Amino acid sequence: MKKTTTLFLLLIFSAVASAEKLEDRYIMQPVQAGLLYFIKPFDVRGTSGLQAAEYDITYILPSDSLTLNMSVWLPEPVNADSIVFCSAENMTVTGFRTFFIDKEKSRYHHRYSCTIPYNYLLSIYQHGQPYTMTIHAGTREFRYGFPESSWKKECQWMNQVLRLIDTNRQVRNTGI
Amino acid sequence: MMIAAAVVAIAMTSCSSVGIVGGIYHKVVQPVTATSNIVGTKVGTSKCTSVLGIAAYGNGGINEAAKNAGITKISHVDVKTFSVLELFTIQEFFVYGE
Repeated sequence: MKKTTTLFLLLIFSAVASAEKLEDRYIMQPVQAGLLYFIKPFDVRGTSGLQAAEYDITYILPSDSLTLNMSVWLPEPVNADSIVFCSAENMTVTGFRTFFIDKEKSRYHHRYSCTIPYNYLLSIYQHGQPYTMTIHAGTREFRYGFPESSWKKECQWMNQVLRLIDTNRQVRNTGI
Repeated sequence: MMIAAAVVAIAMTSCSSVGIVGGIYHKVVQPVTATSNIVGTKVGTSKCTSVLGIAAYGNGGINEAAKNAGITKISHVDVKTFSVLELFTIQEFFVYGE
């Protein structure tokens, strides 16, 4: 009986654990403007006790830029001034959009949308060191990033998706 | 006892999704709706989870997904359901629009 229960639980666990394949990470959809890639929401760890942020990315091939939507949960509502990405090259985004600020349990859900160059995203994930993202609101800063221990795994799947996008870009450019 | 639980779970699979169902392992993407709007360039998602058929949580609505991407004109909606013996189920909605 115990063995059956253990095997049964292992079956469920392994099915759940093995569920996330590369094709589960993104969606590809033809649209009028080209080929839409949607990279599904993924977590980015918060520092100083902040809840992890959640990013999702929308990119339309062959555009030069992509849309990065992010959810952050902060202890109080803030009016963000800028979002700064720190990697090999730093980038400050001031023209971002705040979709909404909503209360969820004891925190405030801030939903932002910004446009960043596609090549910048490539450079972030090809850089050996993890990047950080900081939201500046007046004198306050809220920082998010990946620990070095998980950065390699994060780069692995993201670079596979980016490689797929580049392959499709080349196919479109050569007209095959 | 476990076999009986599995049989009950399989029998109840139709409760969680429309169309194709997998009683033991279910991982499908299915359509929810399509409108006459052109295929949108924005995508929003929402998710809800059920555990052991006892507890369920999350906001998996179309409104939540549209809100997350700033979509005000919906072109179509898909749903992805992942379930193991109906004991662990995740349902994700993908809303496309402008």
